[in-house]
Amino acid sequence: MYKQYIDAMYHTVLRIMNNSTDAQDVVQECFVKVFEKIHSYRGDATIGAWIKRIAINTAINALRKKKRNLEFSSDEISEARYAEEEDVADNLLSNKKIHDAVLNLPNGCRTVLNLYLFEGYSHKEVATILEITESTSKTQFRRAKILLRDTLKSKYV
Amino acid sequence: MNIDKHIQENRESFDHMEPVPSEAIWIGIQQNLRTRQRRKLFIRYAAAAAIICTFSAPFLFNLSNPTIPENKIATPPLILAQEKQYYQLASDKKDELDFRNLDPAIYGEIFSELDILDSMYMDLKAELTNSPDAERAIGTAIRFHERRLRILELLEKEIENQKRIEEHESTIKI
Repeated sequence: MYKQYIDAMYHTVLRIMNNSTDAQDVVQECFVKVFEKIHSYRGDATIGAWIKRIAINTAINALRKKKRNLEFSSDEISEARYAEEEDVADNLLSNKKIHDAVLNLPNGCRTVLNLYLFEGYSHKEVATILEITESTSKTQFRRAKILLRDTLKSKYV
Repeated sequence: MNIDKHIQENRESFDHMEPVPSEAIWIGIQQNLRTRQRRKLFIRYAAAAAIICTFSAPFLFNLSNPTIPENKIATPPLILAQEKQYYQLASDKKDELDFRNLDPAIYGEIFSELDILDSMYMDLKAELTNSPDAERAIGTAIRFHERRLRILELLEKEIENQKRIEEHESTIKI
């Protein structure tokens, strides 16, 4: 089980924590919880989804404990930019470039983007996990995408 | 192309972007689980020991309290045989577990608790001859043995769990 899920869980947590040392600690704590609570797994989600949810909750709690604000700011971006064309040049769409650019996003919108886009949760589920409104989740997602496009363009164009 | 679409289509690839320190994490998990297990064991045994102290404290107090009127009831042979039987069961279980082969780093705290119980029992036994109520004293001794036996049975289960974890660990190669 560990071997099967470690890569995915580590990257899920790394994208939230934005730091490999913290990610290592959180993944460790996550698997300890998994091994201790395995008897309470009820089978109403896949085991991968169950472990992922534990990993995400542990990571978000760790962020909060570290007082690294999960700040959902809406500064810096004008209304007009939300309406901009979303496509980016194909040469910017390399997984490595996107991965590095995601790690540079502010905590709040990065976490929303991760949960929605990389982990496949709906905005309703993201809102529940992060204790925000669905509308904040949507706004932060759009903000994250604008900042992500800006980072890709400024770094690689 | 749209970033959303690109990420959604390549989700799995994003789980292999960085080297994963899986061995270091696994070692940390094992250490963490062992520490938690030791803590749980200690709490469980300490609780059992506390129950024994609670049971025996009034009796030990009574033994040394000169104001208790003497009431020398002849001890029925049945209760003596029972005490002997429980003592033997607990002793056999202790021999069976063979403490010499157990890791003191994991079970040291439990050994200390059992030593304390043994020592309390020895005190009880020493004072038994002066007891104003021999039947009650032997009843307390029986409860000692029952609790001691229960602790040893729990210890036996934990040893089996530990063995299973070690066997599982030895089959995993990262």
